Amino acid sequence: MSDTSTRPPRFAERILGLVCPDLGGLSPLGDFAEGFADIAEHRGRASACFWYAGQIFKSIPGFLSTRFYWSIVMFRNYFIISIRTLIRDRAASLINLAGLAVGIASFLLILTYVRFETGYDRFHNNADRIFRLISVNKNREGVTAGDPLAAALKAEIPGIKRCVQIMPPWGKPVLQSGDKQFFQEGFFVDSGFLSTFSFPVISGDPATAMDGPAKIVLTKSIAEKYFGREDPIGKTMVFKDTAKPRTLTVTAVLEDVPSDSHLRFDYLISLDTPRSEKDLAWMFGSFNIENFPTYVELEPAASPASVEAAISAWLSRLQAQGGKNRPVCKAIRLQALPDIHLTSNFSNDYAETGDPRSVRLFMFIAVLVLLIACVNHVNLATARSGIRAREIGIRKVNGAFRSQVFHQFLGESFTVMILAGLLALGILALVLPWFDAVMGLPLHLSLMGKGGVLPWLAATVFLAGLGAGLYPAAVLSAFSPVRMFRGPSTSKPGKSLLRNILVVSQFTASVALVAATLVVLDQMHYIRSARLGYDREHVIVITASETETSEKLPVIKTELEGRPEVVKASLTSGLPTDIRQNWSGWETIKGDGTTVKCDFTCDYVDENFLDVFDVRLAMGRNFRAGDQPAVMLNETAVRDFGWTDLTGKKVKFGDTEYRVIGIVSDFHFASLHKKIAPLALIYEQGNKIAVRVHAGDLVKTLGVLRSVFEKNSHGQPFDYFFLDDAFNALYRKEIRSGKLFGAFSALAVLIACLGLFGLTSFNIARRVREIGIRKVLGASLGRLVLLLNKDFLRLVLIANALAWPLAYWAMNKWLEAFAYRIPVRPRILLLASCLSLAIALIVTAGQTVKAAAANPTESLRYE
Amino acid sequence: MISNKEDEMRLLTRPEELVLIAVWKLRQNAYSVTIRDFLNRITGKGWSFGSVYDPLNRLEKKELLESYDSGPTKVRGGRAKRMYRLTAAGLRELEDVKSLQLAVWNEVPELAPEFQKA
Repeated sequence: MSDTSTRPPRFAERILGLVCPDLGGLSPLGDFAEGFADIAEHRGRASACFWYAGQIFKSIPGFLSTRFYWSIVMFRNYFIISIRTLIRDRAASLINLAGLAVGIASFLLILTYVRFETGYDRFHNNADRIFRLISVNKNREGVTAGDPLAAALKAEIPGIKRCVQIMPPWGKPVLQSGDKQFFQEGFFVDSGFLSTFSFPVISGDPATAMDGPAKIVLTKSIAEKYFGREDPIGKTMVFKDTAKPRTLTVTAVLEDVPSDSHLRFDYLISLDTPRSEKDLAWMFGSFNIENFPTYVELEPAASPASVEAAISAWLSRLQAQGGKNRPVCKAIRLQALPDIHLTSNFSNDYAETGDPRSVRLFMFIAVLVLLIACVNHVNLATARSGIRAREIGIRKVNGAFRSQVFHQFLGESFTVMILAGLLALGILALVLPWFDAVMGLPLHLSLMGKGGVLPWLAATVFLAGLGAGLYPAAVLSAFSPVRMFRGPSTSKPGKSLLRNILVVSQFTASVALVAATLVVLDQMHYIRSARLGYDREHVIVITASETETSEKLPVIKTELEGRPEVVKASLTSGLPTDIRQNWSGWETIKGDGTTVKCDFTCDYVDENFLDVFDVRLAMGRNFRAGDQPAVMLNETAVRDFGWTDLTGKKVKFGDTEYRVIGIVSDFHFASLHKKIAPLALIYEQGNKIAVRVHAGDLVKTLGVLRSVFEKNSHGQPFDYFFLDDAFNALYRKEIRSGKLFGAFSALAVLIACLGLFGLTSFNIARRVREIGIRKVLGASLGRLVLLLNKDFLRLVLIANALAWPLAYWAMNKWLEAFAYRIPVRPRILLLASCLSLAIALIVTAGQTVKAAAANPTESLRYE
Repeated sequence: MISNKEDEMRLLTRPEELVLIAVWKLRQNAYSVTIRDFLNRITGKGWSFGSVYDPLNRLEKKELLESYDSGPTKVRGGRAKRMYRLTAAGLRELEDVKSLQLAVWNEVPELAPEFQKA
């Protein structure tokens, strides 16, 4: 017999080794191997294998019983006990569970939000290799570049695989097919767009869809909106913006743009379309007409830093050469695609950007709320330890190790956490739609997969269970049985110190949150009531997006001004809420005779602008017919020029010299986040009509506006908005943050108060005999209430003292984002403290008064 | 706590007795496999390894047996054998067992005749 045939198979030995415990070093594996060899020799290998397998199966029951049986029995016991404890002490368990569930739910909610906000644009296959070019100028950064840059970079810089240009259209274009026409949003994109980005294509060839002029790609829902169930490919549509109407052919259909894309569009039009038009030739070919956001896709091996360095080397080479057509920007940097959503703060950005600070802030708040809930758990568990003391004593006397008791109580924490986690899931499902409505987000509850909440729930429950369970488990398992049977435990100062510290930190956090909410509200109030330098009430804005309509605007304007409902109408391209056209390269001569270059934010306005928006003139006069070319500047613009009067003052842009007719008082033409910048109001016709109307019947007024507009426009939909709505839109993020902030600080206070309630009722229950005796000996109701509340009030006061500097510091940080802001007023902090004190008092007072008013015979009857 | 006295008074179980006898009989070559073979042969029944380990363990705990490791052997896949031999107490116990058996049989002179008839 060869050696291998008398050896049992290796894997079988492995299994037997696993299930057959080492019986006091009997080396059973060797015995079985010998038995195997013996059988193999006499009856053949097959029956030996059979015997061996039989041995394995025979070993399994024993293995199972020693391994699991006893732990299952103990586990069942622990589980029953923990459920019984929960039920026996209903109020405390409910407080604990509710607090934890709300804490976990809000944590998960914020987590879902944060994951959405930080997960933008990651669905693109090459997301980590796509970058957006940011041109850095003297004092601002822009997301747009000149037309030749893309081709030049592709040719000159190694490591760049593709350059993609896009161009946001001007105004609000109309897309028409047959008798259907709607405002739709989209981009002009060049031919590489669909290959670089991974927007899923339903039909059509992405590689060629954007080649050549007059091509359009639709998203699925837009294709259905215009063409129903028909195949849109090959159909024609008319695109009307401020240039000539264009007829385009549909070449492909895409899936709807995912909500986590920074590019949002209904359609894409080939950039070759405007490129091939004579009227627009001025836009192309110049480095300094920056209309084109440009993306680069790098080769897999190229590092962004080296590409950036190569670009700056190329740029300085080009600028050293001189020449008329060269980029004026100081540098070009790369912005990673996934960073666009959260790290962009550019005045001319077309993407909807998020606010990284509020993401961080909310994350912080969510953790805080969760911590407060966990602290409740710790406090209640340790406070009630006296009740469990006898159970622990019995266990220990019967031979339980400390580690077993420790595990039991840790397990109890987990039981509570898991229950709370399930509750939290329910709460989350209820709250998420509300959250979406407030935040304007498309989040929904999904358990697994992308955005799935279940793994996070599990992690949260596990970490919270561990975090909140370790300390009580350690404390409870350390009890010595002797002490427990000696009598009801007296309060131990060492342990209540920790409890006090926890209560203080809970209240510090809640008070700070309340203070923060109040500061946010205060700043919002300041923004709404701030003197902005213009009047945003009673102004209705009508947009003209087509050339034909634009040509008719003066007619509409005159006609509107003849109506009794209208005070005055102005043709303007920007609105005082939000003027953002930034032109760099103006030149002028200062008061001391030197020439300076400067940047102005520019707006096309007419002579009625000042009246319609109630903007005041600081110097000079308003425009008059025949003034062109002329501008009015704002005070900030001329501050450095040293001008004493306006005679002969001119500013030059390109080849045109504008006479400076007047100086307007500064007004806030951007949100209060930004300082007022130099502004030039240019006397040219804009494409919007801003109408100041008389207060009164708005519906009738709108009807008048509509009829006048539609009489003169060529079927363009009547599109209007109110100026104060546009104003509110500027602060949408802050208003959202304010609401959320309010909600979460309310939650934090609520949970902290739940904890306080639980602790108070526990303390009163423990001191019920003391109260009875004090009463019998003549203590008054007032003294007793004071006695019972004293401790907690002291803690809440300490918490307030800690919360003040914290809130002050944090809110100053938050306010830094506003160029115009309120100080953090002590009044606000005081108000927050009073609020928290009042709430704490309400929570404790009811119980303490009840306890103090109780008849002492009740509490002392059994003594 | 169970007192030592009670422990000493306790009689061996039948398998323990048999294993003790087997170890005595096998001398230098007493280990689980040979003991099992011996028991199989004598009793004519199939003993599993488990049913041998158990009495061996208990006897060792009662210090009637002591064990030592042999060197690794090829047939056992390079594992060592755990060899057993009687301790002095074990030997005494064995003698007790024998005398006990004899004493018991002496008390019962002969098997009852009616049994033999039946």
